[in-house]
Amino acid sequence: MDVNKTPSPFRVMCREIYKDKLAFCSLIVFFTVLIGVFIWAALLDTSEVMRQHLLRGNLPPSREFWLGTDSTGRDTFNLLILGTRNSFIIALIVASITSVIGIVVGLAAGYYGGHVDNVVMRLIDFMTMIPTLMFIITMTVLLPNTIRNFGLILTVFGWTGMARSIRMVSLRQGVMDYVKASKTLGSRNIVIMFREVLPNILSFTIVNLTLSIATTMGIETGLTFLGFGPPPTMPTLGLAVANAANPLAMQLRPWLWLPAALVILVMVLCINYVGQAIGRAADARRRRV
Amino acid sequence: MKRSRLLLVALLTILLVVALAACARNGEDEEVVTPPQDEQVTNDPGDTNEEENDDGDHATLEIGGLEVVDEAHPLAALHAIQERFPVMSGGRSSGTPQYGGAIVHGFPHVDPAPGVFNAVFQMSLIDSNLMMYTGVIGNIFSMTPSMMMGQHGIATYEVDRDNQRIIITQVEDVYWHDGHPLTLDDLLFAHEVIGDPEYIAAGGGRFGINQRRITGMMDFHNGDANYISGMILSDDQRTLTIYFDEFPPTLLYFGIWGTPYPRHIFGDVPIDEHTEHYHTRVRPIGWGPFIVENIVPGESVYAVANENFWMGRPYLDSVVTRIVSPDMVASMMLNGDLDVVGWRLEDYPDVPNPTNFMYLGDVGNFFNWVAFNMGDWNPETLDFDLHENPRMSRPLRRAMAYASNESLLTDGLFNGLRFPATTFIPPGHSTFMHPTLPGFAFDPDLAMEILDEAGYTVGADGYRTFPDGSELEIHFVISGGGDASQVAVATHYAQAWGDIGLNVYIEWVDWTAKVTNIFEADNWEWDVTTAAWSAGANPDPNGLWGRTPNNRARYMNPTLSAHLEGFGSEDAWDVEWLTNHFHIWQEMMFYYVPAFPTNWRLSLTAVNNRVEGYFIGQTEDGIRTIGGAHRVRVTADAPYRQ
Repeated sequence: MDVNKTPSPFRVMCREIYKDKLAFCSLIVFFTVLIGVFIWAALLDTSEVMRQHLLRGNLPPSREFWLGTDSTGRDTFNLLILGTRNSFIIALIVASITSVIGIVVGLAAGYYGGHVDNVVMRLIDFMTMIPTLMFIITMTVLLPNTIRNFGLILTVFGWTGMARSIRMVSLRQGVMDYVKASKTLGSRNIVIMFREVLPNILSFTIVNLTLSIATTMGIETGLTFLGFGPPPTMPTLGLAVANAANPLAMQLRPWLWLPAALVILVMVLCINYVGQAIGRAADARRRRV
Repeated sequence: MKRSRLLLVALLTILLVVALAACARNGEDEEVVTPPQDEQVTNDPGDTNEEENDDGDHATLEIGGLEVVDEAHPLAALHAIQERFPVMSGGRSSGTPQYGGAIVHGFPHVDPAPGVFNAVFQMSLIDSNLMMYTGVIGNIFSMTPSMMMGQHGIATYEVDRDNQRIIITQVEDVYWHDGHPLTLDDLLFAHEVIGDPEYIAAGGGRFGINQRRITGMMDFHNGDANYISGMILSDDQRTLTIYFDEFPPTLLYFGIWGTPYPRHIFGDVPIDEHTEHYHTRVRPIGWGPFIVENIVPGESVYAVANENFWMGRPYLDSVVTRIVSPDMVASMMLNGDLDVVGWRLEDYPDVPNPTNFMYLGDVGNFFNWVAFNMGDWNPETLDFDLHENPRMSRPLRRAMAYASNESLLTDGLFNGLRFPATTFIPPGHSTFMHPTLPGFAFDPDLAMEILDEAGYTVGADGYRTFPDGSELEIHFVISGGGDASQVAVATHYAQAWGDIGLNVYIEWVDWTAKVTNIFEADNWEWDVTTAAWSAGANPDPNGLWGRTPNNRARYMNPTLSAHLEGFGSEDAWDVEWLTNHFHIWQEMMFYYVPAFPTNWRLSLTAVNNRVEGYFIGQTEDGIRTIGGAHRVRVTADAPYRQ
C-alpha cells in the first residue's frame, strides 16, 4: 500500500518555501523583479541607453525621466533596469562557475581524504589568507579592463568558499556505508563521487549556490563602486551606486543612487531568505513543516 | 512580530548602506583619475622677442596678465569668464587679519605623490605643488605677466646679444633653510647636475634644448670636459655669466634654468643617489617662506615659517599642503576642512554661491587635446620613426577632428567653464595665437564628406571601412575608468566618432600605465588618445611638438621641421617676424593635424573666507612666483564652515 510516499527533495524544498511566508514572499518578489527586468531590458537598446546627452544632465525625476538623469544625461531608470540585468547575469555566471569548481574540488578533497585533502585544504587556506580584495583590485589594474577579465578574476578568488563547505559535507558522506558498499562493488571513484555522493549533498550545494549569487552581486557592486569593476560602458548596479561616491551628488541627487541601492538590498535579501529556506529544507531537523 | 522585525532589519540595512556610501571614499587612494591632466610643467625655452609688457595698458591684476583682446579673438569668451572671478582672496570676512595661524592647502589628486622633492629631478606637478610654499623648487627670477623672466627676483639679468651671453647678478642675500647662504654657485651646480652624463639615466628629465645651447655643455655632458666652459662664476659667487652657442629670444622665457640646487648638500652625492636622498624624500631644503618640518610620504607636507625669509617673515606660522581625493574636495571645503583647494569644474553648478569660501579664477596655460599615433620615438637617433602607412590617414584624422562637438562638452559637462580651443598655443601666450584660425569647429557633415571622398565608405555592418575594403576599427585608449567625468569625456568622443560611421574600440587603462607605455615608451598598439598639457612659460613649440619624447603624437615632416628651427634663429628677435612665424606654424598644424586641440579651461581655486591675500594672478613684480605666500593672512582661528 502506498499511503505515505516519501516526497522527493524537490517537493520538500517547495513545501518549506511555501510554508515559510517570508521565503515565499521573497521568492515571488525576486522572480517578479527579475522577469520584469529581463523583459524590459530586452526592449531596450543598450547603446541608446548609454548614449550621452550632455545638455540634459542632472535632471530630477519627471514624467519623462522617471528617475531623472545622471550627470551625462542618461535616463537613470533605464540604466537601473539594464544594470540589474547585467549585475544578475554576472553574479549568476560567476557563482555558477565558482560553484562548479568548488564542487569538484570539494568533493574530491572530502571523498579521497588523506593527502589529497591535505593538499587541497592547504591551498584553500593559502588563498583565504591573502587579502582577496587587494588582490582583485591589483589584478583589475594589471589586466586589460574587460568584462571577461573581471569575471575571471572573481572566479579565481571565489571558489574557495564553496570548496570548503562542499568538502565538509563530502567528508561526512565519504565514510558512510553506501559509499563503502559501492567501493566494494568495484565502482570507479569518480562514478561514486558524482553519481552517489553528489545527489546526497545536492540541496546543500543549491543553498550555497544561491547564497553565492547574492555574495557575488555584493562584491561586484562594491568593486564597481570603488572603480575596479567592469568597463564603464557596461551598466551595472555598482555603476549606479557609484554616483554616491561624490558627496555632493549623494546629498543633492539621491535619485541617482538610492533606487539602485534599494534594488541591491531587495535582491540580496530575497535570495538570502530563499536560500535559508532551502537550507532548512535540506536538514530534516530544521524543517518547519 | 515577524513583520516588524523585517521592517527593522530593512531600515538598518538602508542606514548601513547610506553610511558606507558616505564614508567609503574618505581620503583613500583609489583608481579614480582626475580629468585629463598629465600635467608636466615644461620648462621649455620660449621665444620672446617682445619687450616687457609693462606699459600699463594691460589690466594685469584683473585679468591675470593677459592682454585685453577684442571680441573676435578666440580667447574672447575665456577672458569674459575670467573677469567674473577675482584673482585675490579677501574682503569676505569681518575678522581682522591676524599674525600667526595655519592654513591647509589641498591638491586634488587620485594617486599618492611620487615624493621627489628635488629641484632638478622633480618631474611631477603634484610634487612641486606640495612644495609650493617652501621654495625647494624655486626660481631666482620673478615672472612678468607675459611669462618672461623678470628683474624682481633675488637676481637680475642682463642680455648681451653681441657676445651671446647673459649676465646674472644676485641682488639679495638669501639663505637656505639650514642657514647656509644661497649663491649663484648653487645655480651653477644645478647646471652641472643637469648636464651630467648620468643625469638622464638617474631619472632626470630637465636636460632640454636650451641647456644644450650653453657653450661647453655638450662637452661636459659627453664627458670630454669636467666643467662647463660657457658658465663663468665670479669670485664672490654673486655674478654668473652664461655664454650660448645659439642665442634665440626663447631663452628669456625661462629658457635659462633658474632653480638653484644646494651644492653643500648634494655636491658629493653620486648622481644616481639624488632621488632617494634624505634631503629629497624626508627633509628637503629650500629657501622659501616656509621650512619643511614633516612629510607624510605620498600624502602631505607640514612646513613652518622661515624667520629669515628674504622678503620678511611670513604672517602665517605654518602651512600644510596635502593631497585630497577629488570627490571629497567639495564637501571638505563646505565643512571647513580645507582653506585652499583647486575646484573641479564639474562641481561648480552644485555650489555656485558658497557662503564660507570664494572662488578665484585663472586662465592659466592649460589645454586639452586629442593625439593620433603617428610614429614611434627612437631614443637612439633622437628622432621619430614615422609609421609607413599610418592607420590614421589624413582624411581620417581631419574627419575625426570635425566630428566632435566640443561646445557640447564644454557647456554640458563643464558648465561653460571650459572653451573650445582653436589652436595649440595656450591662452597664456595670446599674443602669438592665430586670431582667425577657425580650428576644427563641429561639422559632422563635412566629416562624412571627407571620409566618403577619401574612400572610407560604409560597409555591410554599418561601419566605415578602409578604402581597400578591409575592416576599420579605431583603437581608442583612455585612462580613468573610475572617474565619472573622464568616462564622460571619453564616451563623448567615441560617440562623436561613432556618429560619423566609425567603429571605435575603447580600451580603459590605468593612467600610469598609459603614460609609461604610450607617452614615454612606445610599447602599445593605439590609434588615438586624449592628453593634456599645463604648458610652461615658453611658447616655443619645439618643446612639445619638436623632436622630443614630449611630442606625444610622434609626428614630424621636413617642412614642419624646417619651420620649427626658425624659432631658435636670430630672426626670432623681431616681434613681427616671430608672430608671423607662429601664425604659420599654427596653420601648418591645422593642415597636417597630427593631433587637434580640444579645449582651454578656467581653473577655479576655492579659498576659505578667512584667508586674506591669496593671489593667483600675475603682477609686474612677479610676486606670485617668488613667494607671495608670505603675504597670506588669516582672519580667524579655523576655516569657516558653511
